[in-house]
Amino acid sequence: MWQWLVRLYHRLGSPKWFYEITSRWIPWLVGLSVVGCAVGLVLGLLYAPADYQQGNSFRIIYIHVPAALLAQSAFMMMAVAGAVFLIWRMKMAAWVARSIAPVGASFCLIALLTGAIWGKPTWGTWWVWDARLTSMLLLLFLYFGVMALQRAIESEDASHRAGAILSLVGLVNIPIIKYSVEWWNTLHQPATLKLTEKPSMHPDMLVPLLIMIVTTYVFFALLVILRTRNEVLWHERKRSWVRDLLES
Amino acid sequence: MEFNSFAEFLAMGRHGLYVWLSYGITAVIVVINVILPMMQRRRFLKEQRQRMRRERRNQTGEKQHASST
Repeated sequence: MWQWLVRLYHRLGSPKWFYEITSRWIPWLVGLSVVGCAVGLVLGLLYAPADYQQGNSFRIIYIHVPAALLAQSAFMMMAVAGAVFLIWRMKMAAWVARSIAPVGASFCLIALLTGAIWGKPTWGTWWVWDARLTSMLLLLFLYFGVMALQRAIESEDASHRAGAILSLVGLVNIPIIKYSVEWWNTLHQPATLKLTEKPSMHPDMLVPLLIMIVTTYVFFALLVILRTRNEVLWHERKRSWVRDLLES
Repeated sequence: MEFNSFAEFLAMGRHGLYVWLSYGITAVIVVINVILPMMQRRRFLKEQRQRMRRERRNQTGEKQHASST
């Protein structure tokens, strides 16, 4: 088991291996994303019953909740990749962290915008400075900060290090987002899904949500892989395997 | 199915504007996220192929120059 892990680690560290294996994964990730999105949205928009309080505006949940969950997970993954780079100097990890940042920021923006639009018919306002909304906005700014650092400094190594450090510091915000609806009296409703409890949602509403959450993670993997492959090609452009690829 | 007609589906009760605005904005952000890395890849391949052609031309040019003198 240990040896297998060590071998996996060394392979993951090899840009050429990553490029070749992901070439085979991409069609599957595209297919899963398209099918998952189609099934999830048809079930969510056409077949899920309207909410007895919120009517049809609750259908925004099928993009809002997956995007918000992913924005937080992506930040944690970016911090882990940053830590791997800081500790073991693995270049692939730095490229992955740099690829995650704009994608995570995009999903954070989706969560904020759809939340604001959902807030209007539900609360009567686009925005309130409550704990959940403010900590999510902070997450977006943390993403922007990490992106700026990852690209700012002349030496690539130093900018990767600075980005990794800010993403590790920014981790503090993640539990604040999660517990904001419990610690403070917020306008935002408490979590719809909890790992430890039986869901309170009707299965016809819940199943499309779960499908959309899984699909969002698959789609995220696809986007990060596409960006990381570009990083790999750029950094390895003088290597023979990339030259062979360019010749073909 | 929850809706009896396509018009009813578009109306989403009284919430059509909010629902479709949310989905529209999300679609735009998603499409941008797909297109950007694809464009970046295409630009990389184009630039690098040009660079390789240029290098090869320079090399053969130098050889010809060397043989003629």
